[in-house]
Amino acid sequence: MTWHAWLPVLTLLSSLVPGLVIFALPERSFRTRTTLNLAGASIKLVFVTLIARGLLAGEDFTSVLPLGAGLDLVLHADNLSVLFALLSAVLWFFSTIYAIGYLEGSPNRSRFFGFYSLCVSSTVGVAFAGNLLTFFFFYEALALATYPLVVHRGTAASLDAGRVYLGYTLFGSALLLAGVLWLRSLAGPVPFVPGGSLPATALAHRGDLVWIFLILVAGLGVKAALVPLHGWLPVAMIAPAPVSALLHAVAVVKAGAFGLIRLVNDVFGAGALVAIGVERVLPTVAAVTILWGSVRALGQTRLKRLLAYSTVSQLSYVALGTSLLGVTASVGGLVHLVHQGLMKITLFFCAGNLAETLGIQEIRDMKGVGRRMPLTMIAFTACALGMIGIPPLAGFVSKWYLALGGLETGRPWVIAVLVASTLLNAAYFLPIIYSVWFGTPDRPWRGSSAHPTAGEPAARPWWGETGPLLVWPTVAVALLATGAGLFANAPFSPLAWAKFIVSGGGP
Amino acid sequence: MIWSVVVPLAGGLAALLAPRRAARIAILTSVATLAVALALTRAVALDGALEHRPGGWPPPLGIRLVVDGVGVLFLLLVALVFVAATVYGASFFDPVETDRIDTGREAYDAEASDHAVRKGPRAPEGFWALWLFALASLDGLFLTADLFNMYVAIELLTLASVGLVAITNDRASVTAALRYLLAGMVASLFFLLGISLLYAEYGVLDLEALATAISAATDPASATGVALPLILTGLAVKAALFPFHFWLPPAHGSAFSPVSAVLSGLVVKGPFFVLLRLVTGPFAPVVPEAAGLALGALAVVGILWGSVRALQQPRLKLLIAYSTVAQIGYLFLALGLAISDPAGPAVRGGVVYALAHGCAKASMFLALGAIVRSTGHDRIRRLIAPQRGAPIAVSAFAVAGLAIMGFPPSGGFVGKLLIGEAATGADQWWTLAGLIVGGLLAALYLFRVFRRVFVAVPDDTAPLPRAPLGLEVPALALAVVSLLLGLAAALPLGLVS
Amino acid sequence: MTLATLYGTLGIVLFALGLYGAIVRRRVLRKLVAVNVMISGVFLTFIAAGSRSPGEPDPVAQAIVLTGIVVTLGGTALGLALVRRIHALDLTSDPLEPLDG
Repeated sequence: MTWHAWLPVLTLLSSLVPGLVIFALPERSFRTRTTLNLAGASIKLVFVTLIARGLLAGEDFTSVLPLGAGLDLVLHADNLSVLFALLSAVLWFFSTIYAIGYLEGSPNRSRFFGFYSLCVSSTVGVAFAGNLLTFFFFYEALALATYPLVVHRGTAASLDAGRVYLGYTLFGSALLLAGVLWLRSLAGPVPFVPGGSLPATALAHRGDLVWIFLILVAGLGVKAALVPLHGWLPVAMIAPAPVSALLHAVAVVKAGAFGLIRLVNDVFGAGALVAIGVERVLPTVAAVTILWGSVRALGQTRLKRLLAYSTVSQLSYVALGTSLLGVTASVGGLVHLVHQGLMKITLFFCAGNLAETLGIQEIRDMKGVGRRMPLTMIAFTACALGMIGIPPLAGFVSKWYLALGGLETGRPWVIAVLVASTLLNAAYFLPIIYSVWFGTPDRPWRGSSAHPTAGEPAARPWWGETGPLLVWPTVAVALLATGAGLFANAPFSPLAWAKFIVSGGGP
Repeated sequence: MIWSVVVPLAGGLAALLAPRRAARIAILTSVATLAVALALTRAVALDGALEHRPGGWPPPLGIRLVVDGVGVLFLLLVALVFVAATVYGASFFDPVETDRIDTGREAYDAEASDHAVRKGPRAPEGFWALWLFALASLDGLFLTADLFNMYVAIELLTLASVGLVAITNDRASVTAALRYLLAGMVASLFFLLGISLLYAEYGVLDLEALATAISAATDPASATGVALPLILTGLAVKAALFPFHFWLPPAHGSAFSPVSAVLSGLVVKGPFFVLLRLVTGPFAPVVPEAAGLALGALAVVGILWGSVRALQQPRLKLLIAYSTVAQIGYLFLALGLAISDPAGPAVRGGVVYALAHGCAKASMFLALGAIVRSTGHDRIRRLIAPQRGAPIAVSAFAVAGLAIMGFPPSGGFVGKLLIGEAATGADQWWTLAGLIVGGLLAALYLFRVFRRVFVAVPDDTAPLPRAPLGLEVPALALAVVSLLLGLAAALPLGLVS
Repeated sequence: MTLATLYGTLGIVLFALGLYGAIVRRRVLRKLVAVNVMISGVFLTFIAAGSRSPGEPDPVAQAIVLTGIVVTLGGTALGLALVRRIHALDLTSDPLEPLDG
């Protein structure tokens, strides 16, 4: 093995090893834990960047661990995995900093950061999985590693949320396992190959393949929160903000969406899907989910629940873009994987800042908070506008490509769905943005005096709206999200990389 | 090869003769047995299956000992679990006399000794000798290539196990032991009657000779038509396959933790191993496919029944015991599939699963003992963040749980995958469904326990005394082995050919 | 019908009778006795199985039955010891009574 084979493994280990060490650390060794976390996050970033550079130069990164009896664990870096791995590495870096600030002084931090690292390691494993079995391997690991984070607070409510999460996710895993075994019995090891990897012998079993596809979509759809399998996502909101942020932006839901991309593009491939006649299933489900999520978001009174339903909706943009089976639509779907991640993590950081600093959970308490926490709310506004799809922000770029893709594949209804969704997005985000900047609070916030705008402690500098470890990651990811939209045509933007993936890009 | 049996036998005798040093003798003996098993593994990996004739006598009067890839894996498993459980036992039993009233039970009384380090029970007289005899009979079972010696080994194993259950010496455990003994004796008689019918027909007991005789017979299926069901039934009772599992939960639930670990992790694997050897060996041409289907059907019902009962148990120890009933179902699923397709992935899946389950289940019982030592009870609903008193044991329990649920990267995952592959290959969809639903149920009953770890600790809760490391570390070691077995599955699978 | 077949059949009948007793009887001692009837049945069958060539005893069958007697004797003895132990632990219980929980 050369270093090429080791690089994906090392990327995986860069969060796994710190995670395992952190478990063993006593609660009070704050400094060691923080160092390990940040070192792991930085090293992972470096590794993923190295892989990305290598791919541009046409190098191959594959490592195989045979389990015997024809079962192989394959880690393989391709353009798509790098997109996802880079996203998770970047967001892990920021959310770790954020989590350190957010959980300052709370109990069980070693446990929290241990599982946080396991969660990210599994995500990277999902990204680099080179065949369906490996994907399932890490997908399951991810499901388990997330549970302790959801129930972290240990209250009755969070334990119940954990139960719901577990129920959904285990149901999804069971379906996935059945699908994987069934597909393996027809098609052998099922590697991920752009354009599909099913051998011709398997394509003869049309009836079986239809069922397998539906089972696998349902199994992945639980994590990707496709309607009607999305119920766990709003419930899981009980988790601490950094967890929600990571769940929504990268880890769990994205693993589902990423799995759908792999399934459609790299397992079945457009040709096989059309041949067995299931190419309309996923677009329909995705369109329904987009609309349903937005409608449900409209009625929410708690900020985090609203964001959760927004995730349900936005996530299906990825599924929609992929399942349209057109070049432009795929670009839209892939780029939204990144755009949604960046924007949603910002929004959740903001929600966390509000809750942690001022005790704000309900949307009606957000009136006028823009003057109290300007930086947080500027970030919030930028990303909410981006979600709506105001040009030239990131959401607009995604929607533009999706719409073009819809036209290109002869499905003009996609535009109707996008327009309806945009209007709904605007309907639930714009009132919040308005009241944040122009409203006046009905009652004082926690930790503030009776007149929040006038009663600021004089000693606090203008940027000290809350702890620096909470503000600066928020601002940083907001800048990234905005930049991704504004500089979408720059050579290394997410859009450029998405195009690179779709074009089957070599050197 | 013979050393695998001789070493623990000699150790057992020494432990009888020197009761004061018995614990130390037991540790030395189990380590020596592990060394023998490792040497045998090396030899088998290099040269293939080995044969030995004690005393140089040829069959039929002489006894052949044979060790092949599967056998050596089970020998390794047994030795490994015994080393861990023996080290554990040395700390479990209180070496010094205490003025505490010795009920012979783990201290379940939480109020009595909340802040003190809880003491373990004293080692009962003869415990270590019995312990090593159980090891010797297990090893003998995995080595013998002769039907009657299988009977003898399996019967001695039952007697030793019954003794180890009864040694707890309270009403519940002695009653459970008696029930275990009766079920075990009836089961062995079924086995023995089957053997005698085979002997009447073919006049041989040696497995190899029997295989030759069966394949040479004109109408082997009718000749074995009565003997085979008797043998299958007898061994299924011994292995606690549903609906013959009734004796297992009370016995495993009332024994000392290290004993439960060995019983649940290893002893039920003995009859499974014999069955595997028989149906893929001499009986392969004559076992009807219907037998495989019947075993598979019982296995599925057993998985569901054991899991549902595990869900209902208020006590952790019984939950683990019922989980064993469910897990035995997986082994018999593999066995049923192996009958339809002896060369398929079912055998490999069954073996890997048995290895993973052996380590994981033993680890769970060991971890349970450590948790009880700290908390003073094992009522699941009353456990509040037990990791405060036994952090390593709780981690071990969680890691072992991965293997029981069949989650990656554990050995249970690989085993389940292979069994599932055999099921899809044989178009047995109900088997696959049982396998997957069983995994879901296992997750349900284990997460009943796992979630107790995350319960927020109320401020007025008294701190838990720390469980001794000697109880925690062996549990974790076995759990880690069960986990790594998944990533390194190529090594054991290479030996199963 | 040869003598061997007769013995063999008798053995199987004994086995079945004993099995019936072991399952149906509720008192522990009767169960133990029934198991011993089963044991005798099995050994009888084994001896019959060994007599394939008349006039020439089969050493293997004899050796096996001797070994079997030792093993099953151990089992029976252990069973009796356990019954006594239950009685010793719980003086209110009658050693002849059925097993409860």
